[in-house]
Amino acid sequence: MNEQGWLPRGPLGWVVPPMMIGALYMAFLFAPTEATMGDVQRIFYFHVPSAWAAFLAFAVVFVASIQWLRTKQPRWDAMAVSAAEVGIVFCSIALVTGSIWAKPIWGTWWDWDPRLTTTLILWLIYVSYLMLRTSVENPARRASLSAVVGIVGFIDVPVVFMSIRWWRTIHPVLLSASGFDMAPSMVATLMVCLVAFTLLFVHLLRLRISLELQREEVHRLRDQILYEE
Amino acid sequence: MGTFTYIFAAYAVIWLAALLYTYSIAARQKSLEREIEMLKSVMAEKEMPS
Amino acid sequence: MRSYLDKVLAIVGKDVASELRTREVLSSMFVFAVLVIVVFNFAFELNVENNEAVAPGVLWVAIIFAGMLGLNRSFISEKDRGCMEGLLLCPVDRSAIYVGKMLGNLLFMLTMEAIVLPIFAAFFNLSVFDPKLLLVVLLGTIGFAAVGTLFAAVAVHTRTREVMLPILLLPVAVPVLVAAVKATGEAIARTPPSTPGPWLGVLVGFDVIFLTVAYLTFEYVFQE
Repeated sequence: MNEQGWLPRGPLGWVVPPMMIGALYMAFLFAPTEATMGDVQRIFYFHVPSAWAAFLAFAVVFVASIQWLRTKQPRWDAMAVSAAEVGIVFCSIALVTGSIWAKPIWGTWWDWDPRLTTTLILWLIYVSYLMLRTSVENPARRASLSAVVGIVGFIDVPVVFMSIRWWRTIHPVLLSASGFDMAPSMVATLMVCLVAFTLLFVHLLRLRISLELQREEVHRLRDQILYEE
Repeated sequence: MGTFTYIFAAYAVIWLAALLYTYSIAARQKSLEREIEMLKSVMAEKEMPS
Repeated sequence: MRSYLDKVLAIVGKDVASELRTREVLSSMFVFAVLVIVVFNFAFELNVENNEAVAPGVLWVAIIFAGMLGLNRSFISEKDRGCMEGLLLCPVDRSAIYVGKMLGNLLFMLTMEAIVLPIFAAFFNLSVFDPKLLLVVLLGTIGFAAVGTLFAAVAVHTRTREVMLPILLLPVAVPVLVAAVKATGEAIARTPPSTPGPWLGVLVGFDVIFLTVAYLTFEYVFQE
């Protein structure tokens, strides 16, 4: 029982740490220094994959929410809440690293850049998702209510992105977008980091799902034992 | 702040977040195990009188 | 089909009738909106120069916060007075409840806006009888009420109730806020922009998408 929590589960647990080391190597030692931004640009190699993992996570919430509403099987709800939690972790990383990258490049911690702002709204939507869950006690109702919010939230994301992007392009932009040309080695580095983060995401997701399923099992047993009279 | 301070800060954030989250999952796992032990002992007590 | 429409109208009629008797929701929405406008005057030191720039934002913050008062009440009073069971027992599609409630909320918000807009125009020295402005207000309110009604139903099932609604609604309603404020700004500008922005399109798109999504998912909020 004890080792399930501490040791990585299955083959993925053994693959992820070396992949992350590999990604670290690529980002720091393999990739060339960028011309205009200098070495600070290397933050990009972990910032973008974090945002990608967050988006992937919220897509999983969307699909799991729909599946819960359709089948009412508890494993879909377990997947939804797990993906939301892991997604918020990656989303927070993306926001903070984006902010840290912005400071030396733009001179400010925050700029209402469309992508960063959409990520912030995304973060708020899924935090509200988790807050909703803590506020409902009945498990079936909690699952259904959060499924509705999970569906609405995900569909909202492209709408939010487009509206903020138009808001920024029509408004005179004070700080130019942080674009830069990517050499092939940089592209390769980014790809490796994307793969590493995707694997990390899947690994954390599976860990969290197994925790959730165990928790449900324990609650069921507890209700059975304590309230059997 | 030098360039490397920023890079260090960014990567420190990432590692911290990943570690803290993994730790949080493990901690919740442990509390679940404690609850299982408690339930087991309650079950054992129930068997006794019979 | 006929009974569906009947049920929708019955729900709207019931909400309107109960409101006409007490008028408490409309009056609190109205007073709150005016208060927000006045408070913003002090918060941002409004004067004649920054008028146009600040006015749209002030208007929409007032509408949104007053609107949430009305949205909350639309389900909370039902639950508290036990009317919810009665509504749910009717042998018509649950989505009819959504349509009825949404139209009722829309009606209340529009009524509140009809009274607030002239006051807003007076405070900011603007003309209110501009068809573009009225269209923006209508479209924005529809979008807000569409998601707001759904989330109000969700919130009423939680422990925190009224508090849950703004937490859920505000992030999701960001496109409405952005588009409505921008479109209002264009509508009231003394020198309108040469090429109007895509804001009305965004509002229409938002309204269509979320009316549909809310209509489809509403029944799941009430499943046991």
